[in-house]
Amino acid sequence: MRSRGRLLLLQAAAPIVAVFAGGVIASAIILAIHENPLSVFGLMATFNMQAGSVASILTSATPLIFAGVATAIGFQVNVFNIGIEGQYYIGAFAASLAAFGLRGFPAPIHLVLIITAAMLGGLLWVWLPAFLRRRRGAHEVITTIMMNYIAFNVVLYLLGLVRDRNLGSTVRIRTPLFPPSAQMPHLAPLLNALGAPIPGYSPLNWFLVIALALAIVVWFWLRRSRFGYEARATALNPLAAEAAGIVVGRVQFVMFLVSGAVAGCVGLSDLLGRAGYFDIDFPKGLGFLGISVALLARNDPLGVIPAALLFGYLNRGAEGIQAFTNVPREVITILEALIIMAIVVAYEIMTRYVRVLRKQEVA
Amino acid sequence: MFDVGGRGDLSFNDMAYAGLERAVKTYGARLTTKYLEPTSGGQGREELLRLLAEGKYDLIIGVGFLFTDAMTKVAKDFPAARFAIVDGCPDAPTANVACLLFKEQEGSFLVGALAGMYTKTNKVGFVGGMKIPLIERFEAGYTAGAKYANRKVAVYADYAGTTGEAFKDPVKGKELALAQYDRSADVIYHASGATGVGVFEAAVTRNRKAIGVDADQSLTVPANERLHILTSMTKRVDVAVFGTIQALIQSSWKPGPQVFGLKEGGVGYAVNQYNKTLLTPYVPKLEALKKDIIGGKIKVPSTKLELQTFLQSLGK
Amino acid sequence: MTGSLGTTSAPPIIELREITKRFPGVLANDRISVTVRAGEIHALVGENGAGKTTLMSILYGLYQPDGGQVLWRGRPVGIRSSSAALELGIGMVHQHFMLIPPFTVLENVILGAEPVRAGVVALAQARARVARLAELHGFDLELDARVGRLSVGEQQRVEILKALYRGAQLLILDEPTAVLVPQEIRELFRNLRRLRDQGRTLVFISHKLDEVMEIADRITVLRQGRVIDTVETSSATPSMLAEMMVGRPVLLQVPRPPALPGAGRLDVRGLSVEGERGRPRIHDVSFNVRAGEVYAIAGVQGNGQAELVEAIVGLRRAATGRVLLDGRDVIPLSVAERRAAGLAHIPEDRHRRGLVLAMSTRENLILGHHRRRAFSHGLLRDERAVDRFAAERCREYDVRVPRLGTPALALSGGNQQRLVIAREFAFTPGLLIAAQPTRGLDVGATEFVYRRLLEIKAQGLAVLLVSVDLDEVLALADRIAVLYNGRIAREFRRGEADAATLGLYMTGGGPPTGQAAP
Repeated sequence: MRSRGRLLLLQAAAPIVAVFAGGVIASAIILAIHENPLSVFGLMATFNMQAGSVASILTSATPLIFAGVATAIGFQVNVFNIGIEGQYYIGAFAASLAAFGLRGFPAPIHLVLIITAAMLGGLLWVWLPAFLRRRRGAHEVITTIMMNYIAFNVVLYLLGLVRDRNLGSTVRIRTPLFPPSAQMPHLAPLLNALGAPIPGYSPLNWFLVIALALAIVVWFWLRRSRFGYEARATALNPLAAEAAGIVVGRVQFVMFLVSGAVAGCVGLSDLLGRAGYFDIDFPKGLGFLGISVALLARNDPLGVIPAALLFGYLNRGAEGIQAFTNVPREVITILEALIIMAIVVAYEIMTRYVRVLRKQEVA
Repeated sequence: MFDVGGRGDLSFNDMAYAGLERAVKTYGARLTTKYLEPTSGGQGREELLRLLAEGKYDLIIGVGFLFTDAMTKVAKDFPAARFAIVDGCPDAPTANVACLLFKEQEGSFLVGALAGMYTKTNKVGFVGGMKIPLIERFEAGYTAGAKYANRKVAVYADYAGTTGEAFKDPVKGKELALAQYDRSADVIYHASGATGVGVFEAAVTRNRKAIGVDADQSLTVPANERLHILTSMTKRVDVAVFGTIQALIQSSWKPGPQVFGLKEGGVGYAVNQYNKTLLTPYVPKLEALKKDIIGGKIKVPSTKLELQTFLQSLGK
Repeated sequence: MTGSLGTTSAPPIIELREITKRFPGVLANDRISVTVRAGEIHALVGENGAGKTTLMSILYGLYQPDGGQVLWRGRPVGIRSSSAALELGIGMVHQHFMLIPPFTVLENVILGAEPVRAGVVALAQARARVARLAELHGFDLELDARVGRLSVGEQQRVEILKALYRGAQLLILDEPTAVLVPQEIRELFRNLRRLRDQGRTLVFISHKLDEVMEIADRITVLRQGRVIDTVETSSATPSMLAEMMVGRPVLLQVPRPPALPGAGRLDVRGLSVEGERGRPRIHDVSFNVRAGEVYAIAGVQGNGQAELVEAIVGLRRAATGRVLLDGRDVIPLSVAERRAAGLAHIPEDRHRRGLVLAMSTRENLILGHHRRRAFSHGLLRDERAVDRFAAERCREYDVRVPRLGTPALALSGGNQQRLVIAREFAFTPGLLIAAQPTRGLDVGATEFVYRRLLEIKAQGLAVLLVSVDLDEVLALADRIAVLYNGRIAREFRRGEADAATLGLYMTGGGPPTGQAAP
């Protein structure tokens, strides 16, 4: 029993040690460019405590939670859906069509329709790789990457067709503005009423709540539903799952599709909570960040939440460092990547150590 | 001070930075500057603008039309600060936002005139990116300039597409340029972003000339393409940036659209060590045209419609 | 039975003094002292988890002890790695061979210890040395044969030769008989005695007591990390050893109720199955299993047993033929549908097929039953029903777990197998397929499995036992089919054949009577 307590403690300590290791490596780099790492980190810490920063961190984390959960759902059952990127682009574009195309609905209904459109868009884009994997054994890493390329170009092409032609003589290419019924309400008014000093301009919106709920629901669904049980058995030992009558290929197919549907929602917070239109500047790369988030969370839907927050934290910290120190932008980007890499590696080492301990305990 | 796309792009951002540096050199003691680059798209842009505004900077310049929305929002929250957007303008006039716009048609007119004088075949070409009014402005100015300098000239004009992709499709650019060269055009002007890379390649393949856009592209292309670049129509972002800083210091800063044309030195044609000798015979004529435009003797058309009127007036 | 040199007067070649090895929460070796004399065959017996493997790993340099001393020929030594062990003269033959199948015998033997002259492997020199060694020890091996083509027994000889080539004076053999048929075991024992007579020392790890009694000069019994005793084989009996191992008296022969065969349950007709890459593995096999009997498929590993079982349970497509369960052809049915029709399956490899090791005990207990209405509560799982079921199963089948939430990987081998059995016996199946049900289990756990199998047979279930262990087949089966090369070589009724006869058929011998119709 005592050793079990120690194991638990070690497991809890793993991410902390990992972050610490990341910090040490980052410090070395900061020293190399003749800045004081302590003051840089101190600045980052105090800067990130400000209300505006907290709002920014939560806002950045929102799409990453969606992307992380979407990735984790696939990775859970050894489906390597690298196509979150394309799926959310298509999802966001489908959502835009529903947003400016449908008019006259009350906001709640309109928003539900838009979210449905986003999920259908993601589903549409994931269906082909999922189908090819199930029927033809085509490897999803290749097919989904290809689908990403296709997605960007299809969206660019379609955007040209539906772009707002009233914008006149500028290269701004975007859809018409969404009606108010398609804007996701912001959280700032509510949080202010509750006493949290979130600045009024913050685009933090209800998609954060939806993302958190999604992570919890997916976690619960994997643990407590029959299908979730089959999915976990498939993930942890497909051979045994098969022997128990679980059709592994079908479970993976369904999880693949669910992953794509969730991926369709990745861009919605930016689309409906901030921009209010879809343009050529729509954020890219969230799907790839989602892979890092899911890996950091070890494919645990609940773990995705702190992992996404960490990415948001680093991102906001980078803005602060850029604004208030003379650390060049490139160094900050390298720092972000190094911290994340160090965390992944240190975390891996720690958990491996825990695994060895556990194995020895059993031996 | 503020920026997108990143320094080191040898184009817009580097020019904006050059304008900033010139301001620092000129007004050094009275100026504190800060230079930031956003990372995460729209959200990052708005957040960094806000940090600068909170940092009590008097003037915040966003380089590129992508800043339009973020800046409109932030400007509303910080009425005391002043903002400027290069190449963009808020949908509604805002009391503390200046729009630094360029008369691309005037610069295009000059390079068009150069093409008209240079051509041996009396055929010149234009390759545009996306077919939108902004790019049509380049075409109008170019065509007017070519015809003005050489009544016999014929201008071919093609666009790479109707979507945003048209600005980054070198394959399409090359295809269009080759077709124009094969119809015996010997100079092609492109206003098509990265699509122009293909135009330059075509110029090398057919051993003809091309004209660059925005920055002095002779300086950035591979060495074998340099000799094929007749000149570039330059948008002097540095001039605009320096100008707006100067206006602030001299208390003559104004919000709203500010257009930089030939008169303001905001557009022009590039002369460099590679094309200097080639250009020398044409420079006096070009300078004369420049004077005429600045003096109002020539009204450069900026739309298809205006172009038609212009051409009719030429015919008379 | 004692060896010529294994006398009390022989000096110890290796001495373990008070060896202690602690893993977090477990004392794997608790002050273990064993003396191995030069030139003896020393058997090390004990249940799984008794500490045999840990002890041998320490000896072979894979683990470092937390306390105690190792003396090699009277001199204290620290064995830091397996290459250090080899340097001293300690060799090990693992249960899973470390051979490269496409290489020849010679290449495998010299791999990693090639004599090199001027940067080139001196093959002729190596060949002469290996041939001399093989001849000296009476190893019948074709040096240029590809290892992949050799029988298991021959491969084992290559492994031994490999250790000898590297100069091993002390040879550790980890469960060497587990993979062999009786004829091969006899051959192995002959070789081992010869090695001993030429002065090598052998440590023989096993839990098969009759074999230990036959081959060993002295026997050390381990239980729960401690040495219970070291005895001369001449003064030991199997039941005494079994009691020392388990800590309580054990019945080595499980009383077997008579077969009261009822209606046919499983009827396999003309079944042919293809293996990997479409290679035919089972050819036109027919047999039936009746309620209330144990029908055994005996045979050397790799003669098509795995494919046969997979085809019956639905994990592999049958090329031709029919599989009738209670008269209904189940070939078109999925695994789940076959399970629902009353088929239960104890897979050959419980880690690969039987358990999801990372899942908890309770979740493993409902694997395959998880679609039953009893465990559903609307869209969700009825956790309390699962808990009740798991607790009841663990109690009835003596699955010892600290909590129902303990992951299956934390259980001992015997407990894991009890878990699988507890699960597969639930909801009264009509037919139980038990593939290698006692593989890797110790005496106590094996006894438990035998009792349970015979119990359900008495309750009228049909049991299809697939086993490579002839003792097991003879102890349990009412009818025995020998599978050789994908065909049933012969079917015997109980009492018709002894181990030697079965062994003959298992290796492709026996009178060419063809397939006996049931």
